[in-house]
Amino acid sequence: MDTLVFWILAGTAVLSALAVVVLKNPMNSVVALLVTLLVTAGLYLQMGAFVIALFQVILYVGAVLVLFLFVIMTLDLKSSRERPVLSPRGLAAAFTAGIFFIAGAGWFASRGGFFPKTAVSPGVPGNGPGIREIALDLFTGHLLVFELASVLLLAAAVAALVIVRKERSRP
Amino acid sequence: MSLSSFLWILPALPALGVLVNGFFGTSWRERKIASVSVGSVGLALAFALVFAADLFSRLPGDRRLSMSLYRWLSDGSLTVDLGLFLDPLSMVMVFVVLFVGFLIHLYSAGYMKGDPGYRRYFVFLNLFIFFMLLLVLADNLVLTFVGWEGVGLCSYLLIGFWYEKTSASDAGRKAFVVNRVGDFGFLLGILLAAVVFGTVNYGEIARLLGSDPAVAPGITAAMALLLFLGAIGKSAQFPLHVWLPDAMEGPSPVSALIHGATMVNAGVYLLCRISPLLEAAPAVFPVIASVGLATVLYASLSALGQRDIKRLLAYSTVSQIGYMFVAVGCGLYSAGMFHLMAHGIFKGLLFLAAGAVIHALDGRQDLEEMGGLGKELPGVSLTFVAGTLALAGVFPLSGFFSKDAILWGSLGRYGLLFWIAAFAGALVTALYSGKLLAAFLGEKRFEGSLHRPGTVVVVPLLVLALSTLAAGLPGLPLFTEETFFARFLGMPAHTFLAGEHTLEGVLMVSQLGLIVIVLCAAARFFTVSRKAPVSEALASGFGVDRLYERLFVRPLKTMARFCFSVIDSRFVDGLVNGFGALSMALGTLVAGYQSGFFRRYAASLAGGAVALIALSVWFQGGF
Amino acid sequence: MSLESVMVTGIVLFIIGASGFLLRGNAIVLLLCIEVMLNAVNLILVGFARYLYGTEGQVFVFIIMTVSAAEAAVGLAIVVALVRLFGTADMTRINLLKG
Repeated sequence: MDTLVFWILAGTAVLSALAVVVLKNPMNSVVALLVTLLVTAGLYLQMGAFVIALFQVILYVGAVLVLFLFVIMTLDLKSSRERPVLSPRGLAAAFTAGIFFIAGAGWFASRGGFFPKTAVSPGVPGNGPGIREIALDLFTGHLLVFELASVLLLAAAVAALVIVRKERSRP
Repeated sequence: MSLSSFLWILPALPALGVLVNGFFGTSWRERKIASVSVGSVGLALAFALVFAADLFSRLPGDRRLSMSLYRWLSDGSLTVDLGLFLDPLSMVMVFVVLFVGFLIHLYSAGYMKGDPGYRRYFVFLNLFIFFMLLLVLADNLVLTFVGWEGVGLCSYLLIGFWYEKTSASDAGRKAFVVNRVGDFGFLLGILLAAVVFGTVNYGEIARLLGSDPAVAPGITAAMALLLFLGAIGKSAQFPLHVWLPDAMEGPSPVSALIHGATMVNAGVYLLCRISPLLEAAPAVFPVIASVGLATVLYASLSALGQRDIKRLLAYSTVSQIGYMFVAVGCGLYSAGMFHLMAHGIFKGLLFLAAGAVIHALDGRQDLEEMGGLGKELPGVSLTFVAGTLALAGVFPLSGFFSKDAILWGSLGRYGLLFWIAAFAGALVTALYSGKLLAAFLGEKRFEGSLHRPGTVVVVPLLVLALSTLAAGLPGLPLFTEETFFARFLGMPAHTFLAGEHTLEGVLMVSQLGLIVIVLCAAARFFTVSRKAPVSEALASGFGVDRLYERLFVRPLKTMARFCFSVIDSRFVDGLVNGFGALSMALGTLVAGYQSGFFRRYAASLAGGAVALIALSVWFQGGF
Repeated sequence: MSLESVMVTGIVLFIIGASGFLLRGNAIVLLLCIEVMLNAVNLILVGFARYLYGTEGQVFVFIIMTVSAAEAAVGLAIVVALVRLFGTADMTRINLLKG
């Protein structure tokens, strides 16, 4: 049961990611990304990372994706004359990539999986760490990273403002 | 405090003249430059006279002054010093170089007036005196070679002094290159001596030869012949004589000094210096004598066919030096050196006087256009006639004594046939002397007026003319090998036909008589009918120049052209340009990386990331 | 559900995102592909966090999300400026260099 859910979710994620890449209209790609993000959140839930799933939905879907939608709607994008990804060339590229992937996977499999059998623990039973534990770790053990991330956000906000500002012509 | 330690002053003085004129003389007036130059040589002459006096005052066996300045090269077995050595042999040379050199410097001060290269001329002239003194005073073969090369260089510089004239610069180059052939032999001889004897010092070589004749005579003969080759080149003997007639492109004082009185004598001097070597390999003597004799005949005949007064004198020089070589070839070093001294004086005189004549005629040098100069230029003509008579060997001028000694010696050593040939050379000499005299007799054959030469030009001529008269004195007393000169020189003498005084006397008188007759006849002939039929062969020196041109010069020029157009242009330039092109290609390649094509940037990012990760996993041993 | 399957899924998603980044020309779609890649990485990290003890995996994912949000903001600002300047969002046609 568990595995089935996993594979359904994983399959959906892969398919929608492919859709992001393949679809011509950027709007359609954004929607496909939406699907990918939600499905990934589901995967997080299945792995017991509730906090992360929460943030995935709030941050990615709720903020980043909405921002993408805004920008696309605001800009008047002319349809470009791109070569469609499903062109013979694209398919050939995908095929090559597939070959490489299978080769790599086969090689890993021949060596007994990604990891030596002893190194990986069977996993934490039940759920993963809750929000309390994560918060404690974040604000004590990894405080510096936290602060830096906030500075980064500030810089990004300022940068976005500056880049978008129109040139004011001098009289 | 012996005089030896002051030997270095002799070459130092002209060197000082070079430095002073060279560095400071660019803004000086002509008079100042000339005084520095002439003064340095004059002072050197004064010092030389002091040394000479000292040498005279000593006993015959003790006549040497030597000093060693500096240990130049030292390689375990072989040491070469900067050493100076003055003995009667070098004293004679020093005297000739400085006496004639001083007079020529004085003459040049007037002759070269107004020439834009005045300073350059005197710098080179002083440099020449320096190197010549170095050559003469050196106590070992290597230092001699340094002086040898130096005078060759100065000769090249001075022949091509008026370098804008292509013929002059060509002549300079020709002189240098032909000399080089001889120098090759000289160098090989030095190397052979260094290897066989372990030293290049003259004194030590003489000692080794004297004490230990274990050296195979073949080796010594080879050494002597190689050095003789150098002498042939420097003294313009057949077949390396071709540079001397062309060297007349230089100013007349240069021809007088370098090609009449000093440099061309260097070969004879060298042979006398290595006399111990020659004595140890007596088979070489006939070779030397035959080369000398062949040159005498060849050059005197060629001189007869010349129209240019300087070229005639040049060929005459070649033939007179041939006589000196004949003397050495007979083992008569003193006769050879005596002729060297006499010839230096009268040939110098002749060249200087010829220069005055040419200058007076505004640059015309053709004998067929000269005549009756005796009336117009009395002073110059008188000196010229004196020189010509000395050249022909008329009593009591110096040429008589020296030439007579050589002829007598050759009869004694090599017999009648040889003597006939040598005497024939003397007769031809008389013939062309007559041709020279004809320029001053008879009617006026030139047009226009004359430039009278200044005092500074005439005085040296007079001094030299008087010296020609006086220079015969050391050749007394006659009829013996024990002339004053020979006693001073103190070199080993071979006496032949000693005691045959009657024969010698008869021969002397009859030789003189024949020469005078031929001289007068030729003078009259050439005065009257100037357009004498002269064959092309004589005028061109029997076509030797043309032969060399075809045999050596043309192939070399073709090879040089080939090297330039093919090897130099294509390979070397191609290589150098290729590097440039390579850099540019690399640059373009790298520049293509900044194309502005977004996809390429992204791809290189991805590829680079993959590569980095793979590398790090590799180094972690993860694969 | 094993770690290997999570990793495989993550790798596949990453490859899809990378290929899309290399193959597409529209600027917005490029940014979307970047988001796909980042998500793939997050998935793998959460997988590791699940199978190993500790909170660090999830903290790291959190930080990555933050950075991703910042980068998306700035990227979109750049896209807006680009469109304003060149009139198109097609990256393949925007080239001022002479190459």
